[in-house]
Amino acid sequence: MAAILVFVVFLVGIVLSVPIAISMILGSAAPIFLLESGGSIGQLVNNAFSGANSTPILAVPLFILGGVIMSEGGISKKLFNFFAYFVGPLPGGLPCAVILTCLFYGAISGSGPATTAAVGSMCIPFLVALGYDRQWSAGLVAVAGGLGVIIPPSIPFVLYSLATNVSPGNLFMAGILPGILIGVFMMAYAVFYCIRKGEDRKLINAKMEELRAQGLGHLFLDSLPALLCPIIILGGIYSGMFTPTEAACVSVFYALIVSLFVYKSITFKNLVPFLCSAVKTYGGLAFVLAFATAFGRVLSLTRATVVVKNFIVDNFHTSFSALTVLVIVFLLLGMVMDTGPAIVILAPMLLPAVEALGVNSIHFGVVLVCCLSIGLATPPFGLDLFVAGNLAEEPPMSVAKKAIPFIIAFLVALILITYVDGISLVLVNAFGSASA
Amino acid sequence: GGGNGGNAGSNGGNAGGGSNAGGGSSAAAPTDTDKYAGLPKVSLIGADSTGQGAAGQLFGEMVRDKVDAITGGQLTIDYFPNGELGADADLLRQLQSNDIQLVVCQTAPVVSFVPEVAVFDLPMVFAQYDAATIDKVLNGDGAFNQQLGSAFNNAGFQLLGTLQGATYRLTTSNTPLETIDDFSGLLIRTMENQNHMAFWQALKAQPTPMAWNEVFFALQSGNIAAQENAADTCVGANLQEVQKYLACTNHILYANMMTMNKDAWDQLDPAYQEALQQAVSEALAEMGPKLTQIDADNKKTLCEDSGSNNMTLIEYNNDFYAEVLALPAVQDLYKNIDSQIGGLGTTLQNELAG
Amino acid sequence: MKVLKWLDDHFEEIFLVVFLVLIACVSLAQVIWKKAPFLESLTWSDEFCRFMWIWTVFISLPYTIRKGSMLRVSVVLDLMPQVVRKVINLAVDIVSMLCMGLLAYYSFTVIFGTPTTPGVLASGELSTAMQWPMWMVYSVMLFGYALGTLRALQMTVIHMMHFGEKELTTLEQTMQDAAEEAAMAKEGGEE
Ligand code: NA
Ligand code: NA
Repeated sequence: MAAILVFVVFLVGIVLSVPIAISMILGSAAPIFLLESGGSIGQLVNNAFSGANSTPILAVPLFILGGVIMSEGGISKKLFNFFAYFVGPLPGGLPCAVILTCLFYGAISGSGPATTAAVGSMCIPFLVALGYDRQWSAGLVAVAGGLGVIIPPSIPFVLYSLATNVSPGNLFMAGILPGILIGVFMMAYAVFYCIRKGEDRKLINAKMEELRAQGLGHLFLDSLPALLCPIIILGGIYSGMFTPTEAACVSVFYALIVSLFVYKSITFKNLVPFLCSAVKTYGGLAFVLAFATAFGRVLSLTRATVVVKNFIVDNFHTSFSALTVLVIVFLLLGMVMDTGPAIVILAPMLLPAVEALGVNSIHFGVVLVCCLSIGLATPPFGLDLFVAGNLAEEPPMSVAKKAIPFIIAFLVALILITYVDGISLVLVNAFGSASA
Repeated sequence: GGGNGGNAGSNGGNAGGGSNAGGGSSAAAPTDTDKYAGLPKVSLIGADSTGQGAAGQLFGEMVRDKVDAITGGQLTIDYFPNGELGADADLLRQLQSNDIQLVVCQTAPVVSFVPEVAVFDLPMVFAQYDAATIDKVLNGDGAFNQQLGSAFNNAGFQLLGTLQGATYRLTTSNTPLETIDDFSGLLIRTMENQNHMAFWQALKAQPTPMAWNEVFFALQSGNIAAQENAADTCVGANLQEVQKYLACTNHILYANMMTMNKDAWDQLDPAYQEALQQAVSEALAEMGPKLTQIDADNKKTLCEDSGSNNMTLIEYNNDFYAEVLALPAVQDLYKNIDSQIGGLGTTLQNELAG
Repeated sequence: MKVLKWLDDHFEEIFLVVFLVLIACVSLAQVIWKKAPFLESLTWSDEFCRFMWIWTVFISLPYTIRKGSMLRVSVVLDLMPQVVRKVINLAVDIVSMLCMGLLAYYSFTVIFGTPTTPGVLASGELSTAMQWPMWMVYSVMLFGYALGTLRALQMTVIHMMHFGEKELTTLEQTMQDAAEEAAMAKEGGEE
């Protein structure tokens, strides 16, 4: 009874567009006031405090700050030049270079829209100048930007780890192959499209000549600091040099030094706007993350987690059917809800149920994050789509139309990732921790 | 159905069956349930974050079952294990405000609320004693337990019992820790506890606090070389996969304390208080020896049953502990802790020595 | 007046930016001190950064309420006619104000206690590493909720005063934000 009250109040709040944080407060307070169940308001206050009191969560503001600096620092351009040098001459090579840049840039940036903005601002005009369709180029970047949260490091994985106590190192490892798989599927479609539509090889070859004129040595040296960035961050995490939080901190200062002194793309004057921009990005998220702890404990106290678990186990019986239904729900949610709140609210509620059906907690995290990250590129509400549309100066809906084949490629990869848990787990089983 | 928070004080004036007679923990006949039938039902919220299958969780769940059986379902504990209601510090804060009535946790997190519990931070103070001796001091009616109990009362807590079984926190490492010198420079993950860290610094090791879910990875990669925990925690985290040596440093007693909110305790009908105390005593008596066995089994899992991952067991004789205790830095730490807790450490050492 | 207007826009932001700088710099110091073999690891840095984040969390409340940037799912709202949207937004302002007020009141009792239970102040609890009194750390939470209440009241008044004017839907608002992000990225891309 109390459990159902929590859900009803919370969901009504969400649907009526009451802010997520306020909906959580209302949902948690309802059973306390109406049924004298679920603890006390003082307990909510204490639990929100303890939700904020966490070290791993510090990775979130730091990755966001690092992402802001990198997107302004021109690092994505250096990466793109490097990849374009190698794959540019092949059919569909330059669009593939864009996807590769997203993959690699995704390794240093923690967020999807930031990846889209950073890569898109440079790549969309570039592709358009070489004769590619404007809307198609924007659609490509919008969807590929989602790779930024699957390839580690990734803020959504940090949040999933916070919400479920699954080791962030394992999650970061589990995201690699699914991210690459999605990238490969998207590249396959891009190549197919380019071969069918034809490319302006003349323009492209002229551009390639320009790149080649620089010489591989010069190009390599120029892109080295950018290429080193993911190596330092991921290498640091996987070699155990850094915890994800420390890696986030290192990424901030590495990006700062490279942008300030090597590429000289920013100046000290820019720092205050960067800080304000980072604060603005996580401002809405900070309290939701903290209060999710209090909300989760009300769900425990009212035994709502047990209700959800029994409902799922009794109705779906197998991991196959449960995952199928949940993937559809996540995809729909991803269209309307921000990734962060969706993860911190859903993960602790659903994990016990799917674990009871034999789904691995790391694999479930990968599926959840993949689903929600497509949402960034889907209408009606896809931040990546809006960013890409703005960069291309095209209406987001026209961009969305051209993005559909890419989304389908993404979805095909998603089906494989969902039902073949080995794709996420093979690296973890080989190198990760067996326990968490 | 749900746990009704903070509803422990509903015994009204109906103290009819609540005689205080028959103290001690002699076996209760199940027919005694009659005397609770006239009392209003009371439900307490209990919680732990000790981990799946860990001693603290077994203890809490056993007390829950026993209380239920003793009172015929009149006094119940709605139990939330696995940190569902928060980590230790969160639980204790909720215990203090009576949002939770019963908490099981290890000793270290209690120190922030009951400073005297720092007595358990005295390194290796229990290392040379057997379970029965320790149990007599911790759960008996000597001066130590009385002083500790009133310290709990001052913080708004009621200490119900301390479970141990002469099991200790051990050290796992990638380098053999045979002598004191081997600890020098050891990069070891510890709890975020000043006294614990001071002890490792006294051994010239480098203590580093770190979130538990990052420890396996950090050990695997060699970012840290060692950690310290009870054997059951090591087995639960599969540390044998990433650590080579299991050193029985026995530096901290692996004790789990069951604590109640004092108001909730005071408002319980005396009959319920007695039933709860009886449940705790029975659980302690049953679980103590079992723990010793489980601890031995866990050491065997880590050192004999893990195939190529087997760890090498390092055991010490009393000379080693005496040598550590004689280190000037350790002696300073003893003096420092003892002065902060009003000489409770001396009381403990005297009672242990008998 | 100019100062007041500036403070109205930036008051919380100043705190948040300062906390972010502190988090970044102290974490960097922590990494350096941990990795440098000749330096003893810092014992206070982790706790300090956590406290800065706690303060960020509670100061972000009045900040997002004032900026109207609390995360929300606004698909349904965007489908409504403008009048309904305005009414719902006003109701949300009032509900937010009540929620903030409620949490402010209970944070007060958590810190200063009630006649029956002692608060964090009376318990004298100290933080484990830096030995800061915990009531001090908690008091920023009270400040955040209280300022959140005021900010929600301010938004109620603002929304009432501008009730007749046209307002962007959340979708339009988000697209505007995306345009800003895109513009900033374009600027950054140029060298
Ligand atoms: Na990433
Ligand atoms: Na160091």
